[in-house]
Amino acid sequence: MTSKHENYWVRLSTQRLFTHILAASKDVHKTLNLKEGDLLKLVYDFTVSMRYPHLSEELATILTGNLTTLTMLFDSEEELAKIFKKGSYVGRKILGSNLQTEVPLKALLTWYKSIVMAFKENEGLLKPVTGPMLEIVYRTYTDTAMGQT
Amino acid sequence: MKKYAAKLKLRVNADMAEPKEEENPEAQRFLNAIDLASSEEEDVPEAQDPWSTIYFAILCLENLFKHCEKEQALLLSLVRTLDMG
Repeated sequence: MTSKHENYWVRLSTQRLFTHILAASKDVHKTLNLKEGDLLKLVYDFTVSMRYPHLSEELATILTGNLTTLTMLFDSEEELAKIFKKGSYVGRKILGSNLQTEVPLKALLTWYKSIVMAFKENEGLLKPVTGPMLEIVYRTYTDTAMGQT
Repeated sequence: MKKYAAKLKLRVNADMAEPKEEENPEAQRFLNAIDLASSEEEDVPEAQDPWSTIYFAILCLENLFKHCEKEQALLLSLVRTLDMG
């Protein structure tokens, strides 16, 4: 761990804390004293964390789990569309950067897969989730750098 | 639980029955820094300062503990009243 980036441990501890908090909270809004829109802000923050240049497999796995738990609390097509457009945008920014791409892209697609599995019975919720994520899949296949790996 | 307390006509401490929602300025500062109004496709900074995120996590943990304490206190008051009855 000491060889990682100086604030890596802060990010890892934060995500571990959130895993336990979310597991112990039956009603997240009430238990954590969150207002309307706060949960969406937290999802945005976690999604953008995928751009952390020193994202490890361990941190990505915990982050994906937390993102999945939080995303499953949404049942509005509009909010789900916002979340996955942001996820797609973050993924495309990672593809266009000089950063490592494998870990964050794998994490984003694992998050997408978990949500698809959770919403598979609900076609209405799958639509806003799938469109934006397919943009990353398309870019991954057409990207010359990714195509070589 | 409140429903059962009302059913049993228990005198539940008002503080327990109606928990006050306290606003924490630090938590609000963290949440306000995340912009929801902008387009999902707009450029975003790489993430917030990790220290502000962990601080928010600790505040959430504190709220979780407070919630559990209130639930436990309410449950104990119900048990005590039932014992007296």
